[in-house]
Amino acid sequence: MRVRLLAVALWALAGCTAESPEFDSPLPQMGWLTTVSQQPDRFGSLMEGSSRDGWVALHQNNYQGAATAFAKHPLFRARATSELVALQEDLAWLSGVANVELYTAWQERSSMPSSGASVIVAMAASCSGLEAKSWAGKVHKDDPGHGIAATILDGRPYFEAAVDSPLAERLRLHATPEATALIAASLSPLIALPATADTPEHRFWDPCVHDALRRYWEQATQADLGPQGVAAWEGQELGGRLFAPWLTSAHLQQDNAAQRPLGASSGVALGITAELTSTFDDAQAAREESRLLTAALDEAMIQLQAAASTDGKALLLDLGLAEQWRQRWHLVRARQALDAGRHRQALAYTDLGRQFSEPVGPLNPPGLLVVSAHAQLKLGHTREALDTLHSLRKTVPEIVGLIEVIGDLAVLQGLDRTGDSKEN
Amino acid sequence: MLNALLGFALTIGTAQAGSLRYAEDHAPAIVNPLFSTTMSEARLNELVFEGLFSDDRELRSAPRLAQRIELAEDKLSATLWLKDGLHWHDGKPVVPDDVVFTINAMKNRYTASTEGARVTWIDKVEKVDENSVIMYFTGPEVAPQDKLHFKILPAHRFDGTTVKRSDPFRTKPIGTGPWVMMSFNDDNSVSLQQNSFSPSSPKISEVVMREVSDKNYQAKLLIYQSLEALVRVLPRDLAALQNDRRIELYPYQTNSWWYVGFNQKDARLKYVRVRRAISLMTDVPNLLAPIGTGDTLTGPFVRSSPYYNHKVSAWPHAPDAAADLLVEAGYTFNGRHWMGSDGKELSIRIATLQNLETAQDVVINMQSQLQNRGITVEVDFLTIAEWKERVWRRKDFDLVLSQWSFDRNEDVYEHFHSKGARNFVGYSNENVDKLLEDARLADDPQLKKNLLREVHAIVHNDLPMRFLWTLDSYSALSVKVKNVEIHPFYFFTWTPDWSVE
Repeated sequence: MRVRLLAVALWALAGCTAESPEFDSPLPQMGWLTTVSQQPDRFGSLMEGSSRDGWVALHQNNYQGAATAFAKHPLFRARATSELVALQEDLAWLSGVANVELYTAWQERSSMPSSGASVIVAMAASCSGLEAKSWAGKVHKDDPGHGIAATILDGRPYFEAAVDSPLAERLRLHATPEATALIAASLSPLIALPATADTPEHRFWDPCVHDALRRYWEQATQADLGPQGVAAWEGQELGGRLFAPWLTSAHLQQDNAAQRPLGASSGVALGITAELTSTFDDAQAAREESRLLTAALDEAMIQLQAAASTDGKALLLDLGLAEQWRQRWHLVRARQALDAGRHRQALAYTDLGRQFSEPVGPLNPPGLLVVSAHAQLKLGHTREALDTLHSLRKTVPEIVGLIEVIGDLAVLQGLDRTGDSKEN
Repeated sequence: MLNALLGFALTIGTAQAGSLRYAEDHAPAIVNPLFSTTMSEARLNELVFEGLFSDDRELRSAPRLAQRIELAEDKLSATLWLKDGLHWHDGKPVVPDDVVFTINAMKNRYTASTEGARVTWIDKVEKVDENSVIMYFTGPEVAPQDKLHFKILPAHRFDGTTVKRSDPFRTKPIGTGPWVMMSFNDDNSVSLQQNSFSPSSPKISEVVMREVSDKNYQAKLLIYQSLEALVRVLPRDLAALQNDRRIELYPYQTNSWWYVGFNQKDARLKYVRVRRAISLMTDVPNLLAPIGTGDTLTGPFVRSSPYYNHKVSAWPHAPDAAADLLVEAGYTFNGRHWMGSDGKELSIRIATLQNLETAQDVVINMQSQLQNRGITVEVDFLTIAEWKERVWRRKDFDLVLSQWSFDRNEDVYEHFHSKGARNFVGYSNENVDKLLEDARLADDPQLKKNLLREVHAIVHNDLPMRFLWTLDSYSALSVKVKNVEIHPFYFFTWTPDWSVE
């Protein structure tokens, strides 16, 4: 199970303040959704007082764009970069799992290349918190990554290894991550071995690029939030919550305190518990829960729209705010399910959260697809995980190596099969 | 429109408790796994028949009719035991002779099974005793259970292993699966009843397959609760269905791609210049637009495939370049038509399926595009029976517009190998044959990827087909259907666990 480093690290620094309901009226207490619909002037003030471009980008799930646009607003920039932390954490976990599954299965077939492969899986395990030394111990002294393996065996981070160029340049990027350079480097394999008389060409992709990017964005987020951590958002009123999965500061506090994915307790406003309810990996239970939440949300939105001014109603509808929040809650829930090893539930939540008719953008946060692909991989639906990740090729270009690795795994799993095909 | 819909709903009846009604674009022409060629047939087979093994929910091979399999030390043979107490829908017991019959029927060249390629690795099969068979392989096999997913047929319903498509079994099939075929109805629907003796204990009492060729109509029937399931939703209908809270969407990506196939036995189309000219005259994005969004393709894999070669560039829409190619190929343009050296107009026929509404739109649009450039085009809309006869058996066509769907192995050997069972376009390239053979033998996933990416590049240039596009594919089911999990290819594999409120 992954550890949500950001939440854990910042909780220790965060102050806790309770937040009273934002409206005393009988309107549904839907936090920032209620605020935007009933007091659209507060939304307008926020846009004018900060960076409209930043909020537009955040609304579109364009986190890098939002981080750039919020250059003069560190606390809001942290809203964007914290999303990048979560996304790269999802990807890093998936990368570790996929690499270890691939090379374990490949080794069992006795066809794994003797050079290059072991160091990749040792790195993948090392940066994913998995057992790495047994793989590192298999790396031959003539292997281009022998220095990395030796470093892992010493118990030090892989990127401290002294190795020859071009690996040295890549490891330097991992040691002191910088997003643009890392992403550019990730588009090429970490190790490329040309074909020989006995072996075909092999390409091994950087298994730790996502973990390095996670560290980079985590440092940036912590620097922007300062010693208060996520509690700094609580004092920001609407700007600390707008478009977030947590509806109120109280939800943020509760989830941070419980070390849950932030936003998990927001469903309580609609009758859904903060923690997963069923005791086993029951996809149908997840679907029923999603239907309850959706029905309650639909009802709440009818009431909010009825009470809203023309501007408030327009904001709610034109920006698709309720559907967007519904999606983000599903992503949070899917992460909870994945953390608990409930892959069928995670897949159900992501399927119900996605807008299948839309690309990645305002109505499909990229994390939803990554968590979906992870669940598919764990359920043996490796080829389907590729379909899911394919949608991210343009918006998350550094994913190319992960796609190649999962592609290798899908091919490997089908080597003994006869294919079937039909018309139409 | 509402009245019309309600009227239609009345004609197809009211759902019984525990009844699942699903729509297909076209009804299966035949329910005999020996001759299945379409997805609608494969899906129906999944309800009626079973294999020795099938995919469990994690897509691992799990015993179905088989109890266990034991591989010989040299991996050249395996003994397989059947489960006890299995029965066919007519009450007869399942016996080893059924396994022997099925494999031999698939291998029998006079049967000409479209599934024959799935057993070429089995050299011989023999009954050992009243409960087991032994299979001898053509080479070492590591995991034969992964290849024993084809459906088993009842030997006692056939006279011998030479089986004809016209055998009465095609409309009165007997299987061991969770549902029993009850009737082929006059409206092309098919009714099935729960097999209460099935070990998989299906919970749905009745399944009805309805033929609804109009995709708009399919979506509306689901919205008006006259169906419980649509197996394939067009991209253009996704938003409307997803916004209906009584319906949920499920990804059903069958690795499908559309293509225009060129008959390379045709005296004109055997020349690559002519095929290229037709390709360059075709504006593919314009053909795709009426159907909705999709990814255009340059080869025989979908873009998310590990085998897709992203370095290959698409053929452009370039009518002037097409004209140059036709001139090089000996044609002349008389101001209205392209004329061959024999003085005849360049005239081609495009065949497609009659009741595939989306294909009709595409083929008429393509006819218009080519005719505007001086190629006369006739369109043949074929029934499924005519398609199987003219395209598959007689190869009597110039161009075909169709769609292939692949399971997760995306094995294109049968489609592009010169001896492939699905290569009805008659493509032949020695390099491609070698690459496909090497890919089948490859034990290294990266080697296999590289070989098939090379195949992609070559067939793109050789143009046995103009690869068109893939559409995102989803299924839509009523929320009344519970515990739904969809097999990524066969759809209904895990249906026994479904229930309907």
